[in-house]
Amino acid sequence: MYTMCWDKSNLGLYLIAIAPYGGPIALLRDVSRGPPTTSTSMPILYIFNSAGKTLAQTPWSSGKVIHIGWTTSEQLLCVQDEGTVLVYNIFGKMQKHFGMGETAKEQRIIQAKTFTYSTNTGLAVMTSFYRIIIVTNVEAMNIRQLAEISDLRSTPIWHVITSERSCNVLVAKNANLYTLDLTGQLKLVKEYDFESIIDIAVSFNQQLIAVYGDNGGIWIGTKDFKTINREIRTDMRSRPKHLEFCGTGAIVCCYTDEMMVFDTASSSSQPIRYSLEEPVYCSAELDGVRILSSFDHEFLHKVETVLQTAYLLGTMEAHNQLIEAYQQFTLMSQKADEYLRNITEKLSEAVANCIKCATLEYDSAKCQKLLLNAASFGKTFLTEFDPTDFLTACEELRVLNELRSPKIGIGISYKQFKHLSLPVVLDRLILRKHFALAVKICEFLKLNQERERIFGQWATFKISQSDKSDEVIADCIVGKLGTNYMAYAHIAEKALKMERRDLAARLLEFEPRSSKQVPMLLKMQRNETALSKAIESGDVDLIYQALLHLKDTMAQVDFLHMLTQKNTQAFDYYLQYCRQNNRGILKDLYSMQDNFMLMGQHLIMDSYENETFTNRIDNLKEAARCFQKARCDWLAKQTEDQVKLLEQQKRLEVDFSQSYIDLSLNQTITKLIGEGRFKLADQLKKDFKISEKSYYYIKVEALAESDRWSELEDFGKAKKSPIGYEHFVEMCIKYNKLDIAEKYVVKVPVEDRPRLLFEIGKVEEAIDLAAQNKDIQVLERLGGRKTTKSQKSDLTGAIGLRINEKKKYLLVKSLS
Amino acid sequence: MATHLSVGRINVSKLRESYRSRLKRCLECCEGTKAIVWDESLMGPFDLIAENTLLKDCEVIIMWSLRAPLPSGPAVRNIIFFVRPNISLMQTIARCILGNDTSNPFEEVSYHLFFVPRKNELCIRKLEELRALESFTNVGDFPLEMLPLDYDLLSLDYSSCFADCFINNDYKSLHYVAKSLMTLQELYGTIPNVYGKGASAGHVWDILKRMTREYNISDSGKSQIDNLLLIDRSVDVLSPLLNQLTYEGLIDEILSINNTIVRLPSGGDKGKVILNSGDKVFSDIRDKNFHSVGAYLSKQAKLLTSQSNERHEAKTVEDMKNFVMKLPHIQAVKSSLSLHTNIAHIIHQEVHSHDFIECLDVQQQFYMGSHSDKPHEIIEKYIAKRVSLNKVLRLICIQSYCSNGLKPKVFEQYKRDILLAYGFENIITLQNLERAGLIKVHTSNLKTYSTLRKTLKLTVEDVNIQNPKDISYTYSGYAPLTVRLAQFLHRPGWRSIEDVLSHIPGPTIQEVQVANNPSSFSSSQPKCTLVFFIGGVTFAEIAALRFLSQLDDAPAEYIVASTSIINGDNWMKSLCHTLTPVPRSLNPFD
Repeated sequence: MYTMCWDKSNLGLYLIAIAPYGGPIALLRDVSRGPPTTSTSMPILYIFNSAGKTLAQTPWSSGKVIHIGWTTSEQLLCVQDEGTVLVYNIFGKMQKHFGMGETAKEQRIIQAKTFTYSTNTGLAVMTSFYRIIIVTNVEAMNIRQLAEISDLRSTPIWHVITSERSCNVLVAKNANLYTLDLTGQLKLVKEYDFESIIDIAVSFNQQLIAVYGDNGGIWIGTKDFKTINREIRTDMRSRPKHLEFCGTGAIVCCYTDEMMVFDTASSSSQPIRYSLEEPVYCSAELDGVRILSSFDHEFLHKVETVLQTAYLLGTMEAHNQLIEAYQQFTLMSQKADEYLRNITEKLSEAVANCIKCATLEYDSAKCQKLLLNAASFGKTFLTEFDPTDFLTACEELRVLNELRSPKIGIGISYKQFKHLSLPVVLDRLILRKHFALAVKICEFLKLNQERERIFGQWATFKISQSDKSDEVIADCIVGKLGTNYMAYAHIAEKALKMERRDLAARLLEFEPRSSKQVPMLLKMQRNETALSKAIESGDVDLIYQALLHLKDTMAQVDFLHMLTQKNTQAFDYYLQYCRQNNRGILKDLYSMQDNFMLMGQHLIMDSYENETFTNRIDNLKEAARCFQKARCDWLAKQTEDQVKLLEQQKRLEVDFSQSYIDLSLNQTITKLIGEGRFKLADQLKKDFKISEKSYYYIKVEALAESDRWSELEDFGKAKKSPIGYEHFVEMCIKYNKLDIAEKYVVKVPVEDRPRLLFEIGKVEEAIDLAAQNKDIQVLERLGGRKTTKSQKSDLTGAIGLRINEKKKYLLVKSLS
Repeated sequence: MATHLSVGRINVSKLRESYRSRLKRCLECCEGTKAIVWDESLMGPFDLIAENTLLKDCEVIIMWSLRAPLPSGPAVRNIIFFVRPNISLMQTIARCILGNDTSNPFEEVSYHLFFVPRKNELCIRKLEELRALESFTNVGDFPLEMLPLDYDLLSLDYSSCFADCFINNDYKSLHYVAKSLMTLQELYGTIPNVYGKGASAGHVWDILKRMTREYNISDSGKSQIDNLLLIDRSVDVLSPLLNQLTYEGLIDEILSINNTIVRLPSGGDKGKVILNSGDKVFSDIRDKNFHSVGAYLSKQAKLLTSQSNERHEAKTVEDMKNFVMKLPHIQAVKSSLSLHTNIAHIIHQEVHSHDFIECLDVQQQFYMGSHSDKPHEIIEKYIAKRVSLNKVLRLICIQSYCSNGLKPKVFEQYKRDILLAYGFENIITLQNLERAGLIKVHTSNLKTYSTLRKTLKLTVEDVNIQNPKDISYTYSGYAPLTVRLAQFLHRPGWRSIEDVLSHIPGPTIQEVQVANNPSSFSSSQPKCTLVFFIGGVTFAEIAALRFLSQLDDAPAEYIVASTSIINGDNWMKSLCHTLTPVPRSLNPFD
């Protein structure tokens, strides 16, 4: 895959950790191996990308490290013998450290293993007392001590095996294999017929187990030990340097000068042997093994059949023929046609296979290009071809080739890439600070949201550069993200977390969404800005969020001062809030504002809420004073009059044991007249200066309502009615005294009479009179009127006829 | 169902569909059987988007209206509340779920709360305070904004908009209007041209601009709507004050229509009638002046009789078959005719009453400018007789508007008479009307109304009611100012009336949202204009706009949206605040 561009030799002297999925490589000189280093020079922790490009090198000043391993989020765990674990990022910066507990500290750690449990990274250590201590998730520390295992050999053979729900430790004791679960239960799972177990390996997907015996045999089976896949015989009886699965199809055994690869399934096949010139390091991947030497970095994996058959001469596979056809085509040979004709029926399959092969190839310049070209050539002969797969493959390969370039150094296979998913790959680019490439990929794949996210991450990274001034950083970020960027508030929040308040404020200025901006401003205690931004947005809910937050967090005096002095609109909303939630405070607020008008109104409302009469009166009197202060003399006068009315009503109640309060003045008069207390009614009329006309309307109705018809007659005769007599007639009709009504009809002006006549049942008279008045409009209206109860419905027709006749007569007359 | 929504210039059923799928998703989030508790004011709106079978399909087995305590019913896994973000409801909700636990039949129940259209801080705080918030598994929004009332009519069902803006200085409704316009633009494309008149229109436009920036929506291509016209109700307060004289307008004023449903006085449950353009007869007469409705109905009845008589003339089997084919249609028209004859009868009684005619006369005197600036004696009479206060206030407001404010003496006399006749508890109502500018004192010598009346031809004599040539038929002589503005916008253009526009208070908006967006239709087709009434619209105004759309050489077709559908009475009610005294203490010494 890569020729390493580092200057390291003899990897056997180092502790090595290779992160899966083409991840980084960490090297730390193992003090227990090789010649002792001079005491003056400290060992150095190196971190490289897959191509050997240095990402970090830091002198190691801490204790004795016995194991290093990568977590799933690409952080390096360095386990020291006294139980401390130091966590570094890929740039060699220490992130944090944690201990493995008291026991580990006392007993000392002799071995450690990192493992993946669900999506987290776990760590298991073995103490010198052969006790295993395990943490299933290094992010959320929860240390478990498992049972002590007696009679182990000085170099214990053990391994962690996980599944979705469980996490067990496999421990070898002589030829017996035990499992140790998290509750500490030790269970014998398998006895072997050799003397003792000298190595154990577990496949990357945690499904297969390999056990190496001291007789040189390798037992390979499923994790439940029920199915034996194969038993291999090697002639090597010593422990291999490395024993790793290659996917699930093969197992790799590395010895000092030789490497053997065995098929895990077919028992007949012979191992593939490679001779080694120098020590190598193996690390399992999802679909193969990464083999690292000081010169190069190889990826050993099974070549899929489809790819095997692609180039082999003499196979008749369709895609093989298609490739051949294409190559002939480029040579302008007519053979191309021949090849194509062979596979006409399998052409779409051939195209699909070419695409698939391309994704499996690493060589971009030659192989991928050839395969894709062949696919493209083939698809031109297909009438119905869905180009999606082809396009996706092209896009993904472009991304993969970028990732694999030595500069980026993420040596990832297509299968791993798909398994990891694009967002995770982008995260890894961000982790390596390859923002530009990540953004380019998003733009290339048109992933707008991801692009925004990466910009956000980039901005966060910028903010963390403490050596630059707020202004420089803000300009740099805004320059890059532009004013259309939607998540400034988010970045500002990051800045705030890093204690850069001014920078946060600067960035927040650019947040276009007030719903994000205002809460952040409040968080930063930029109270006035928050409130005015909320008001600007026109979003009343946001205004209340801000207002109530400020009400709760500020001293009341300051809060009200801010509202009254600086923000009248906010004050209006606060008033509104108080009207619904805190009426008590309203009076104070109005007086702060010198708003006597509203204060008066408020007092009037309050007066209606009072149960006791005196309080009501007091409220009203105070209201009247407010109105005076507000220079609303008219309102003050009305309020005073209401007090006067209430007081009179109170007196009436005392005198007559009747209820008058809460009646209007007109109603009070009506009631008094109904009770025959005419003088009192007249007095009220005088006191409140009711007009003569109004009084007539009130009194006529009151008399009619209380059946005082003779009094009504007297009243009508006393002097000429200022409102005419229509009202008299109407009241008679309302209280069903049609005979009395008739007496008043004659007093009504002649043009208004037909309607009233009609209503008291004198239909014919009404029509004749209207005709006499030459009033077509009234005639028409009479036609549409319902007749009074006294009339029978069969008369309606006759009335209609009569009306029409009159109308015609009038029309003819007016024409002539 | 709802096919009548898809026949207009924009397909309104698309909007309805979006609500329906949203509702389904919303309900599917709560697994298992469900009970829904409705804020009563939401039942009408939800009826418009989802029928009972849709709810049943989502395992809703029972529904209640919001009242505490919850009635007992079948055991359900989920209880879902749909409410308006109205603080006064929070107490009830809290009592529903915190009700005495011992007798709680819903042990394993999870509670969900959806605010329509959107939750607000005050409600959440209130629930927190009542310790009810933590009982909910889920507190979310259900953004039901514009209700699809008809193929050309959308309403936010937000009746307090005008009062909020002009009395309480509370502008949340404007944010809501802008939000609903954003939703509409998401569905039908960004509207290229924006026009508007009035303070609220300016406000909404500001918020809209802001939202466009905030949401950063990618342009969804061609817009189906060419123009947006925002009209603040305060631009024309006269139209809702006057009595509408179209069929639908009168039904609303007399029987009141709620979310297309009218309840007839006699008939109980059967009296519930849905009024929309799905009913062919109704769609023909809704916008006619009521005086021409009778003629239409009798003509249709005759036609129907002749159609049903065809069966006697049917000689061949073929004829008979044709007749049978037509039968369902005949039946439908028949029942619809009988329904509308019935409704028309009720209205006829009302509009021929003396009171109605008298009131109409007074209104006419005012808007024709033929009344002096003295107190009107009919108004004085009405006050003394204490006829409905709404009616009186409407007349006074009309007088105030048409005479550019009342003389101080008249102004004070009216108010005092009202307080004495109807009681001091109406003092706040009067203050409100003054604050909203509906009653005011004549201050300057500006004759705004008469200028408007002349230049915009607001009043027309000799209206042809049977075959109208002008929108003034909707009020038998008055043409609503709002609709005139919409009319002038397209022909001859607002430039020609700039002078008049400056007489109307509030900013004038003429802006372009999307430059050079080619209209999705050829230029020969009339433009599609969405008229948004901020603060309410009357059926008469809608009728007038439809009339304009249907003219032979119409330059534009109109779609109407509004914060709510109003008429003089319910509008006046939304502005009134009558105080009611608490019961007095029984202390004999007080």
